[in-house]
Amino acid sequence: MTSVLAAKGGKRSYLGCGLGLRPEYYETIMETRPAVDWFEIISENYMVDGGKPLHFLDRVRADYPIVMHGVSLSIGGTDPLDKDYLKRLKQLIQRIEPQWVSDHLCWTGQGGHNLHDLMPLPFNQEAVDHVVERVQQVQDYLGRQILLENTSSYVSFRQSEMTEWEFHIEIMQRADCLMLFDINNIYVSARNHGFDPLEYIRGIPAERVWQFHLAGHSDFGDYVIDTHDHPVVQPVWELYAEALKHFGSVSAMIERDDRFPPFEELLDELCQMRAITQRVMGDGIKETVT
Amino acid sequence: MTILKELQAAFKRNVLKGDKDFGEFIISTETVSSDIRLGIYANAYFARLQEALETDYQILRKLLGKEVFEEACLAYIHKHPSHYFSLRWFGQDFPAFLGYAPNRGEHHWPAEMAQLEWSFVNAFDAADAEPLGEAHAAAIPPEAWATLTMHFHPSVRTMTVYWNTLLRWRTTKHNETVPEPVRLPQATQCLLWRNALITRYRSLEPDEAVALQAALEGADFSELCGALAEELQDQEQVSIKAAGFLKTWLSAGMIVGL
Repeated sequence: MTSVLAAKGGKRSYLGCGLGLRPEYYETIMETRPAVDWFEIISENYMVDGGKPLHFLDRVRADYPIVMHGVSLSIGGTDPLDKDYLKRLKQLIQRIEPQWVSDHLCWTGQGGHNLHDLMPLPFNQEAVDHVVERVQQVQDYLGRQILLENTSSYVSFRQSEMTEWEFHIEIMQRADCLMLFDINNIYVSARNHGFDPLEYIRGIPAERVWQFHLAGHSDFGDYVIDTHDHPVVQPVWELYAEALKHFGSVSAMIERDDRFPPFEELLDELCQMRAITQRVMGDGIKETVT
Repeated sequence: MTILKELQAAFKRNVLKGDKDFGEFIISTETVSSDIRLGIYANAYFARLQEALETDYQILRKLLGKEVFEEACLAYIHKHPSHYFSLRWFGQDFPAFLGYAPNRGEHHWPAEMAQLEWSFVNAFDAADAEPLGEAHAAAIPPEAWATLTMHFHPSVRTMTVYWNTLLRWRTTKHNETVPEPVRLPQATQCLLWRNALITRYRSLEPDEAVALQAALEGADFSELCGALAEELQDQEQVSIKAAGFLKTWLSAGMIVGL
């Protein structure tokens, strides 16, 4: 397979602090041109023929760096890769020219049925081999590396043979792909499965991590669900600070997908992210990290 | 079957149908049982699909009421598991599921309301094309009119309406007094399209409906006039009416090529 790392000089760009581009905020963003360093889109929302979504995306793209984040690749699925989906993904990449493209280390359907959810994989050798082969196919087709995000999960499988981070590392190293490190998901899964999130953070090689996600969740006491409908909580901000210490300057963004607040509230959260970044990194924030 | 494939198939059955043969794969803990853990996925599945239908069929939901609408959603979700990578398409069979029968018109009003709302969804993100302005009509040389064909914006579509669906849609949308559902004395055509990013609709008089149908099927201007002549009693009005329709369609941003 072509090493896209080599093609891109093996460098990760530092984009700064970003937000998700969501239809609820299109008009506000176009009218106010807010001080957001970059936006992340949900790729599938723009796999349409035309109209408002693509109209606003083109205009936001003219003023801001864009990162594409998918939810339907089903890289861990056992159905064949969806060629129509990949074709549409590639067309959108060609249109938007994003900084990078990501999806999740999960499966989303089986037997032709889409569950429209990020379903967990068992952490074992069979799943590693399966995912590695599919990542290589996708990267060859797209002609670029992809980032895979760690998901929140609510079940642990008896068939697992390694930790989640060992699972992720082996896939990244064998498939030569990168990681979207979701800090909230690590907090959620750590609570649900009883592992130490710091051990997860310290277990991942820094050079593979190109992006952070932060988000809110719903806390039910005995378990936590990743709902993206609340502000980021303090323990997740603290993990963000730890992640910055371990990984260095990594582009970070806040996901909000429900109970949308006024845009100013998201900008306030973004300021909080900037303040933590500045406090931890000081003058060490780098535009590009090799 | 590989263990991974078997695991995913069993997990899916658990989510879709609550099959219990999946417990052997999952580790329970003291505080959170495997049933609770698996329930999170099943709840999320039904909630997500229902939310997709609520987004696409907002007016129908208001008219049917939350309880009846959710019952219909649940039945639809069970009968039509999603085969699409995007939730954008999940609701496309909902009108047919509710009994929409476009040719016979025997359906009840909820099916027609669903079809109207789905038509809006399709017009909303149909392909882009640059509309011509009304001025284009004036630039057509007299000798070119007879063979003139019209290319419509990809969002342009029509549907036959048998009920007072348009009035009920509009009054519900604007929180006005909503009339009871009644069948119309005569079925009418509804035009839907998108102009300047706004999805629009209006009902068509019979003569315009005939002319538009002919034009959408590729008729040139003289063929369109032929179709219109069968609809109008005053034959001297045919070409004037037809030219008027063309100007109306141009000014509405419906035509992208002549």
